[in-house]
Amino acid sequence: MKFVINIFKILFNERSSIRFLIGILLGVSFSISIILATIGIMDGYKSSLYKFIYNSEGHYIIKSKRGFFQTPKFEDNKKYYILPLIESKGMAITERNSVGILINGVDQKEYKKIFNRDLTLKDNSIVIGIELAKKLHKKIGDEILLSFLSHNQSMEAPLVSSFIITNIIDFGFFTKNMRLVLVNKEMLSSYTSKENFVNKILVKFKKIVDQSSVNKIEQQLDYSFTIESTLKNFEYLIKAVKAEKVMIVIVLQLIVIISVFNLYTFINFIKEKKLQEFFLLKSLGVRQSQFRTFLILLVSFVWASSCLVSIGFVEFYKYALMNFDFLKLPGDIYHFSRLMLNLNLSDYISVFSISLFWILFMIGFSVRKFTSISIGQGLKGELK
Amino acid sequence: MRNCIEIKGVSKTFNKVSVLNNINLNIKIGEQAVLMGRSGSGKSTLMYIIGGLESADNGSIIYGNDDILKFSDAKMSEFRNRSIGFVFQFHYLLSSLNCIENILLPARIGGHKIGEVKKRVLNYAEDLDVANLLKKFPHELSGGEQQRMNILRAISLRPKLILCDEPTGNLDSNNSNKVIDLLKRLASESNSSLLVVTHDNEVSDSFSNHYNIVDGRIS
Repeated sequence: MKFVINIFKILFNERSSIRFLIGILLGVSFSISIILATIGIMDGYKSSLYKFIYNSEGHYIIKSKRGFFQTPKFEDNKKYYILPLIESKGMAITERNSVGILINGVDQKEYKKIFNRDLTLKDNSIVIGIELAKKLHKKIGDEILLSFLSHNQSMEAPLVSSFIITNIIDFGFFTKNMRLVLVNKEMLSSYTSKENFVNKILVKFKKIVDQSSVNKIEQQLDYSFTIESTLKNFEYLIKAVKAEKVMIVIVLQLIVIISVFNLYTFINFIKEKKLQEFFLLKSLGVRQSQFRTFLILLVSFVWASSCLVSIGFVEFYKYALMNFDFLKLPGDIYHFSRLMLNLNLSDYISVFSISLFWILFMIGFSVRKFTSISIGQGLKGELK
Repeated sequence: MRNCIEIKGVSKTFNKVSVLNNINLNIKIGEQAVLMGRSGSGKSTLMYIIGGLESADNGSIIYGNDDILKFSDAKMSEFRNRSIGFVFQFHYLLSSLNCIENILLPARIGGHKIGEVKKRVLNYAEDLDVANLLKKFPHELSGGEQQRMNILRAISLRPKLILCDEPTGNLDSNNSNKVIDLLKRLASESNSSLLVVTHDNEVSDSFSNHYNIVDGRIS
């Protein structure tokens, strides 16, 4: 190792070489960080989507073909919570405009237990999302007029009722923040004239989703019920994100290859500038194997340092995505207004390994040429 | 007198052009000789092959009881470090190191006792009148001074064979004579063999043993 340090000191004594080396290192680390960030955004998007769906709708939805039903009793439900609710569609009306909404009638205590949100849901109170509040220019304490379906087949006209906004909350993603409103379940059931009946049950697992529990739930329900994953509505989006991730990783290999070309240029720079020095050291007794070790360690050092610096870049991107306003997304298109970077160890390992592969692949050619000529030729600068 | 190096049937071809053709030559221990020839005659190539800086296509070069052309990478490196002192036409001093660091490079590479080598080098440097220049960098020295540093580096480990490739090629006649005298004296002191490649008649006249190389053959 001392020998390697000595050769490094001899060959990289000049500032221009060190500057070149630092430039290469930053170039490679930037390229690696871009790939990591892209994968992180894709993974982050997916995991955020899952998280927000689970936190606003739970893991599964139970519905009945009959429409309204009485909440079945579930045995062995220690692993999950259930939230029976009444779902209705309607319009939020203001003097300026009206917006289509999805009304969920929920029990305040049950809702808190499953989603851990402390809401005030009295008879005439309503909880709305932050985007709807913005759209309708409403704040807590304001009145809001809702028009909604009664679900009572004998009544043809929609019901119109006024509510006081008691909470404005962030459901996690744009659609919910714009469309979902929560009202008191009992109040809503009085409008439907179907007391103790609901038309939807949310199932949320306390820790991880347990498929055997899902099967048990299914077994306890009769044929008229359906149980579906809450991810089903986002199935195509999740598939698209997955496919895009693979495509982007492939395309972004180009960035790594370009930066590896920089490293290749650096090795050529050493060859041009340091060729005679290399071969002089060989003529004085340095072994070929020691040089090979030196070059491998030099390249490994550049790679390892680049990986470390790229982690720094990624941390900066994480901060920037969460805090810089110009990096906000149009939520109506992407569901979220902020992108998150979510990278796990396997992402880092795979990207670092791929970059190492390209570095070794490219440098292999250069080093092979470098070590194939005689000392005499090297001293005369005859490397071609 | 025993042979320091024994060259048997060495040939070398570059790009299908025969440069050395069945060379046979013995250099005795302590012998001081000059290898002459016209430009392109193959004298430098032969010198590089003897010094382990170039490979030969066939033949053998016996040093002690070993054929150096069959040495492994590690053994050849050791041979270059311990047994050969090569004085190049161009000094090839590393610009990033000062003169004493340059001179001590072979000792550091070979893992020799630096203190011992340094003491010896300081004595030689005083003899050569360059002791006061040892801490300077190569670019601060004149051509003659740089060549003396080059010689100091070559002899620092007291090699058995000193090979000089046109050591006076870049020097004026005054400095040339000084360098040749110096090489001969240092070689005698350490009982090393000295082989000098030159096409300079004045240099060759100062040696009693002459080998001529013509069209890749010793004549």
